[in-house]
Amino acid sequence: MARMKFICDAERCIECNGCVTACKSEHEVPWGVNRRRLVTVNDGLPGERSISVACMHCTDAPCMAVCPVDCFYKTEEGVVLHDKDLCIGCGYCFYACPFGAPQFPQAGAFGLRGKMDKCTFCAGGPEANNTEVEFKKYGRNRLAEGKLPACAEMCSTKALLAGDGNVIATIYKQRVATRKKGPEVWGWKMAYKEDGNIAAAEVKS
Amino acid sequence: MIRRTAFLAGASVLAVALTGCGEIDQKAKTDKIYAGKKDERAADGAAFGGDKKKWEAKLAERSVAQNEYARTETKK
Amino acid sequence: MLLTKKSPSAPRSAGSSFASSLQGAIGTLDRRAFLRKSGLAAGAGAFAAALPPSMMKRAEASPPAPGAGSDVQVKRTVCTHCSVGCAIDAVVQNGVWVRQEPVFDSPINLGAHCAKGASVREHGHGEHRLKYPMKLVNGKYKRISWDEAITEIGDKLNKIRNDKAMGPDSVYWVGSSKHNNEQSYLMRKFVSLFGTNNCDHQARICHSTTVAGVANTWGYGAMTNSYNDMQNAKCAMYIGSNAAEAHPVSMLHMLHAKETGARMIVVDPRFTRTAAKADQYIRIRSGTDIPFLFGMLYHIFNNGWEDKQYLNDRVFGMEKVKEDVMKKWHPKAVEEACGVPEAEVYAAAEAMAKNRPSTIVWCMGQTQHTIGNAMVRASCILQLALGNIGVSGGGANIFRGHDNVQGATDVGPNPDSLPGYYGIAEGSWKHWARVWNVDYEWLKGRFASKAMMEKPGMTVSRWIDGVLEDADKMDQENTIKAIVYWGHAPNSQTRGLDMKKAMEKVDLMVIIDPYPTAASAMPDRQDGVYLLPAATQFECSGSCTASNRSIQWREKVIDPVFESRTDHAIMYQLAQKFGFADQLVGKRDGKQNIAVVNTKYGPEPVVEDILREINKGTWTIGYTGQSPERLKAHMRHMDAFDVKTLRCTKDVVDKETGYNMNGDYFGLPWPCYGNAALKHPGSPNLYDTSKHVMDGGGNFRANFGVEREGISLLAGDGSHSKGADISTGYPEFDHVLMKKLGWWSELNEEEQKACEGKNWKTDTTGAMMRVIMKNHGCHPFGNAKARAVVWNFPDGVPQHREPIYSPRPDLVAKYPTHKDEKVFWRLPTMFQSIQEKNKDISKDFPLVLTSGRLVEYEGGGDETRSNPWLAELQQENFIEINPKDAEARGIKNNQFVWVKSPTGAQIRVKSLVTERVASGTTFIPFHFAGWWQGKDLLNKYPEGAAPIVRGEAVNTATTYGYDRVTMMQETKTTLCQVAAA
Repeated sequence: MARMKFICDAERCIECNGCVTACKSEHEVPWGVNRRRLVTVNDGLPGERSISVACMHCTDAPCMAVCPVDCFYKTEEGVVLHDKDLCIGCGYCFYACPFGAPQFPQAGAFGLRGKMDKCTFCAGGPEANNTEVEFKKYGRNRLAEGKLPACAEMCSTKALLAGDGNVIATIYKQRVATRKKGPEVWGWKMAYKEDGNIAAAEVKS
Repeated sequence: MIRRTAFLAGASVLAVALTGCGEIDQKAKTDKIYAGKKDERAADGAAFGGDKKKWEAKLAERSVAQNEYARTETKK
Repeated sequence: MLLTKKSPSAPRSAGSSFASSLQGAIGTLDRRAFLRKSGLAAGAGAFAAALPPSMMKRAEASPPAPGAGSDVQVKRTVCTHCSVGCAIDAVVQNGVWVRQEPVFDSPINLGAHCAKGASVREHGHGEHRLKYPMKLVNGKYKRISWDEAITEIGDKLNKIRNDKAMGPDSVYWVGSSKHNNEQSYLMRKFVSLFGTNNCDHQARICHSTTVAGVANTWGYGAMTNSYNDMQNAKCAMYIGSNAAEAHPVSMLHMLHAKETGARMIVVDPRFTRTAAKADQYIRIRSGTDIPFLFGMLYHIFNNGWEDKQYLNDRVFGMEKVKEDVMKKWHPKAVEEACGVPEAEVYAAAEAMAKNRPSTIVWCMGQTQHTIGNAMVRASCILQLALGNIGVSGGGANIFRGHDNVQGATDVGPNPDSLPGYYGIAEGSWKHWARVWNVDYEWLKGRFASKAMMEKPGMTVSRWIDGVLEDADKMDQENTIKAIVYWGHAPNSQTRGLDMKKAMEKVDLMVIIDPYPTAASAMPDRQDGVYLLPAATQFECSGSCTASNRSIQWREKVIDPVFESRTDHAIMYQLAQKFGFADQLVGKRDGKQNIAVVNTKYGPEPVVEDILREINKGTWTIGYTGQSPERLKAHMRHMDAFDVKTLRCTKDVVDKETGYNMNGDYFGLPWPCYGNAALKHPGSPNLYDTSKHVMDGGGNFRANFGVEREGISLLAGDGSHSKGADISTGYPEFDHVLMKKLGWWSELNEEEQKACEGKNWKTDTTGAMMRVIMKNHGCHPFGNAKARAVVWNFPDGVPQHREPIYSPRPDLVAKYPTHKDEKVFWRLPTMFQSIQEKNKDISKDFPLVLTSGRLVEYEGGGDETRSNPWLAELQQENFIEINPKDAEARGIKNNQFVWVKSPTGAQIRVKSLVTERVASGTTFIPFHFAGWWQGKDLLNKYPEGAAPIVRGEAVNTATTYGYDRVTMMQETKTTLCQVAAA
């Protein structure tokens, strides 16, 4: 069973914003709503690194856990989606989300997108696949077309990967092995409190 | 195991991912029940007509396009 | 509840600290902090409220539901925003561009895009485009019809042309590197038929110094290898290139190479995003590339790392360079001039020498200087010393700017050359008149005189002086009275204050562009300005040449939007008005080179026919083999080409044409010699002797004679392209040499007749090339040495000279600039007099001001700042200033400041306090316009066509200074003062 995940390779990300505009164009996301954005640390300093961030489609999603109207659901592929007809736009999910993924377009200005809006992993929402109504409420449903999210597919350096977790982990692993300098993935050191050595991690698990 | 851990390390859900080596439970650990409209499965649209195998194959093919090694290191 | 509550140990800390580090980053020095934090802050409301009303509603071209309907078409096109050449599949439904899909098959970009490439679909919406022809009436733009526009513009230009006190040289034509090859070529022809050489395009202010410098060093003015070939490099040094922002997709290849073991060095005054990815970053003082490069060379010679055999066989004059380098550029002098300690210079030299093949990359950081021509040659010399030119993985990877700036340079509107670098001597005109099917005598009659016909025109960097200078000081009869901006932003040229004056002094301004551009708003005029809406490259078909010389064919995605017309249709329609429409399409004596079809927007020349005419005449640089059929076949079978070599190595037959591309390199990178039937595969890496000429191999060009000061300029014995019948150096081929060699008999009788008196450049049958290359494996342009010493340049051996506005009076005394020139590209041009006058200017203007690109925008930015998906990402212009300099001036981050220029100009931008720049250096991106010294010009744009984001143009504040060879403008090193606003 495919389990959809994003991963952003900080060694590759050049903060070009290709993922951001790919998303904007594919879903006609209005000005001010950012389903995806770039985050840079040490800007202008040695060690400058960027990653592209959107909804991470958490396995145990905090947004889902806190939603007072239970408008979130997970697809078979592990994509976290929500029903905009049910959403009350309260913002509790935004409060709960560690990534600032939920967006709240100004009500009314953009038609049906008055409710919470976020990255759908290009999987649309609870409407019939690839219909006009699905597009207007949630954006394109690329998954139903057999395609992966536009942001990752168009990434300028193939830093941002999307797809079945196992598959993209394999792609990432090949890079790390080729670089021969350990994984620089975000949070690795925090997670393992080691020097980020892949072999050490392997022993542990 | 590495394959699975590597991609998850960036997220904050590590504990869940590390619970075992077999197929991991993907259900949210919440007893809440989705109250919204039922969605169609990805493979159920016009493009695949419910053929999940075909859909998965297409997605796998698409995934490879994200890996430039597949094109640079094989052909000569 | 929250997941983290359930397992409060590791994940909690990881999660929370990750999130906080993320937010901390956004709050500090991130450039995106300029963006209101719409991502992390909840409300989009603030923005939405500030938007123009048109933003509030969805574009009219809102896509219908995907997948529905049977008229969905996929058109393959190429991004128009930089020279990488990223392919795009445009999904069109009912004539509306509804989606954009990645082309994974493209060997160039493998589906990848930067912010600009991923957002090109917006061109099909074009809410902020110029929608119909307009003219300025009493200070306001008024809609007019196309017929009125053509009639009035035509009458006015004709009047100037035919007036004895003005004449054809009184109109200046600024063409475009964003035109496709066919339009660029037609533009050069159009201007010639109008009777002047006063035309130019972006290449002048982009890589003109590169083109002149490298062509004079080894033959052709182009990137020697390719973005793809960088995957084969073991070390790459970027000097004056911020590829991560200017050529983002090129980084796909570099980062791949880095992953597989290549070293990466970045040399730049700024710690750029490219530098952030490098193994070694070296900060130099702006404008001191030569001290640094020759500092490297010092260590190379000192350690004997140079490739002695290569130098002996293939390079002329390196001893002289070595002598100069060892004398002048010992480590102390290097550190004094460019500020880099010996150890860092040594490390770079060692890395480049010990990790061969190593490549060098440069861009505007090197070219846009008063000594740009010398800087680029210093880079060439470094690569020659290491034996890196003509080698896969090596080369001089010169990244061009616009999508078709290479092509427009090759065949477009250059003031000193006809298409294909033929020059403008009588023989060149006769060659092209023959190809154009135009009578040479008639053509000559179009010019003010034969002398003017053969005199290089002014450059786009100086047209303003053509207006403002006294006529008696110029090398043409009268001043410029009309300016036509045909796809070129004005804010990309320096000396904004003078430009505004020039715009206000001319009788007529015509702006032909998809967007009104800053030219529509800059001058304070009441009338005499016309705006014509041109179609973008997505609204027409045609070929474009990527930086690596690969030529790609764009399919037309959609019809021209609103009332816009394609550039070649506008050219033809204006030519009709001028009375030379037949000549423009080569219609004479019952023959017609270029067919004309009727469209809903009037007559339009057929693009394929224009390319066929280019194929017929451009022998010098091998634009002859790229027939429309071959190019289109390549575009349909991109997956057939290898990513590292760009070659197709198996039988792949295109169904539509029956063409088999086995052996071809993708896009038939020029030179692709001979006619299409010869099936030359194109040249992936120039001057590569390891390959047969019919496999894209080659050697350095014999273009500078056969001997200099008693030393042969031809290649040494045994040095030749693989399989050549002549195993030593040889001159370029003409009918005499072929006869001497006994190869003449290999031409049939008819060919012999046609080739009599001709050389490889003027034989339009291609028969000579066939015999030379196919039968004998030789190179038509000869086999010579590259020149480390270019004796026809002001500095035969590149010399460091301080910028005209230098922060170091002590070094001005040591390294003074050139002497003034009375007549240079028709204009008096000052060097030393201005430098002398401003020797101590750094007391009042102590900060170096340099400029460059942002990833979200391109060029003058009128197009990209009108695209909401891009505009949202960079909403204000800014100046990067070091914390020390900011503190000394009481400047906080993200506040308005005034940047004051020695010209008296001052511009208002936001401060970005960052260590990206060293103390003493500031940086402003050059894509902004629409403000003038603190004032928003919104009301001066035609209604509804102003770019979404406007800002102060850095070039309002830039100063005088031009390259001594090409008239490239100095944008990279000038001075300023910054004060809180």
